[in-house]
Amino acid sequence: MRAVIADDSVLLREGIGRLLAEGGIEVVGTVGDADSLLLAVRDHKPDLAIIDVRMPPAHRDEGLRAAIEIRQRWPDVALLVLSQFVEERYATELLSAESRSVGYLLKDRVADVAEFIDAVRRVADGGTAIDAEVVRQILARTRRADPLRRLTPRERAVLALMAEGRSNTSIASTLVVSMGAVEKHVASIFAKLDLPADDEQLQRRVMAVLRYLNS
Amino acid sequence: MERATGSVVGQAPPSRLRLAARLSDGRVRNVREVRSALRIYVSRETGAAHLSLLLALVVGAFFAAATLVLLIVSLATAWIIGVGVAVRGGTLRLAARMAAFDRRRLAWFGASVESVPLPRREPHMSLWQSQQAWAGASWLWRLPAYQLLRLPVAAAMGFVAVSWWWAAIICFVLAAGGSKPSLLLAWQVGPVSPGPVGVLALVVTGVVALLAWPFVAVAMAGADVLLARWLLGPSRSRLLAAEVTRLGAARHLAVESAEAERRRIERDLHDGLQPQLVSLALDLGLAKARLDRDPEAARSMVERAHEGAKRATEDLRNLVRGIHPAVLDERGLDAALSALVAGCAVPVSVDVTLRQRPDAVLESAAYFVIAEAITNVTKHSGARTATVTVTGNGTLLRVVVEDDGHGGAHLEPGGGLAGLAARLASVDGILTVSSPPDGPTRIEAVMPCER
Repeated sequence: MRAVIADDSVLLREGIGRLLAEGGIEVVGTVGDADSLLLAVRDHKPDLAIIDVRMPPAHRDEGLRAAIEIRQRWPDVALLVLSQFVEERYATELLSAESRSVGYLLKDRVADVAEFIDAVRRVADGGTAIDAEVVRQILARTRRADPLRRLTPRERAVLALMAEGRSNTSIASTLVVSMGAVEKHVASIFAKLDLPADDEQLQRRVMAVLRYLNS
Repeated sequence: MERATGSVVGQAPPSRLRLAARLSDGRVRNVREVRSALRIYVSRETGAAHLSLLLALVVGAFFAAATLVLLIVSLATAWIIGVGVAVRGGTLRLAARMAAFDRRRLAWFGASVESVPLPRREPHMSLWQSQQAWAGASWLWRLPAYQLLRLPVAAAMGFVAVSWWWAAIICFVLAAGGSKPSLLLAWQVGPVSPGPVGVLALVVTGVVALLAWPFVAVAMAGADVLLARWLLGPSRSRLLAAEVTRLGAARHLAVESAEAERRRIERDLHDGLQPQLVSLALDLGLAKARLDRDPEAARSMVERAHEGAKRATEDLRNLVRGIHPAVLDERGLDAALSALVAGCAVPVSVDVTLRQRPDAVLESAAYFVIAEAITNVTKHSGARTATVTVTGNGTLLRVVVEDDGHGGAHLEPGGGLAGLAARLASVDGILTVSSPPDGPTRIEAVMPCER
């Protein structure tokens, strides 16, 4: 797997590079701003681009815009957007097109090596990785508070992990329960929220959950 | 030379002080006049007062006549569309000219009378629009009013002057035994033959009257000035309104500079510290992951993390100091400058002379002026040496930062210096930047201590 890293902090570019190397991912280019990122993606055709939201020159949301542009021009490139603050609104914008091969994580998550590499792989494999913090913000703002109250605490935890883009296997290991138990919870959630039956396709499931919460 | 505000830079105390001075100026002047009483006989001021009064009377007659005619024509034509505006505007223009003459006359006498704001012709205005602006400048009606009121006042003063001298002369004439002075008032006194006491009394009265005359003349000139200040200068409410506008602008600048400061702190934390801490956590995470299977690699990662942690604490320290150095509160400006200067790559000499410790707000403003200037010296000036001079005499706090670099610093919107100018405006201070293309650069901030 080949990746391009865009972050204006040299320190973090190198750090993330080491981290990806640890996970057996080859870094084919590191850049410090959005324009060079687009050039690097064009030249290297990577499988994955890891992008900081805030980059020169204006230090606003250059990374996010670049990500959206990459998705339009090179739809095969998986996108993992990192940010020092996660904003539910940015996540919604990023996911508005589709949730395939998209991740949006708090930059702090790089500290948990295994989990971060897991998220990177998930995104590169066509899945979704939404930061738990984003999910928390979405849950706090959702107008679906009443149906959500019908869920048990455990079901709510499963729902949050589903929204993050985790697979049943990942949910099971995170909550330290059996696969069967997770499947039962998922079915129960879908039933209680009147969602169409659980989709085999993981990213379609994420979208269904997020759309439900966001609408 | 570029100025942060329109005020006169340097000696002029900033506007709030000037306002106070202006409002109490009349009284201050009078006191001074009394104090200089003994010099009154030889001073240029006395002569100027006479000339000024004489001019007031002679020119005033013409001006009053002209004003009267203009006012009558204005009134008569007020109802004619177009002509009314033209004549009214013209009347006020001429009144402004006359007022300017009178201000010059008084300035010559040594009294300054502030000008009222006149309508200005902006580049985009046609001649007619400009005339309309003049016609609509209702506050200018004070100026013709002055001309009409001043003539009788000046005439009364002239009458006092003539009577005074005449009385003195008659005293001497009578004392000399002149029985029937051929002119005027003496008739009423009639032929007199005063005794020795009477003669003495007459002589003393005459001498006292002559000695007292300059006081009378200067007092009358003072009254003339007061009248002019009342009607030719901006009204008190207008002064206050201008001050309110200025304060509003200063407050806006203060809020803006606080906002910019917050953004700067956020940027410093976000771009400086946060990546370091994330990277530190990342290194430790990698080390943890490798601890069992590759202890050597883990050790080097821990070492890297250790270095990173030390660097981060150092940066945090600098950042906190940049927000507000604690020593500034505890020990004052002089103490706070030591560390600031130590961090500068260019050798800086510091000279702080303060009669008393300034207000904390001023200290802080002065500190940040110096900090920004020093940063610029390090980053942009190419200077070999720099000097920081702080002087405070209890009235003004002055900060000067000079370097021998290549100059070219300027106040651009959104730049560091503009931020300083805004911050200074919030304490009624003024920033002056002088930085010609070949240097040297001189940055001066002056703040009033009374608030």
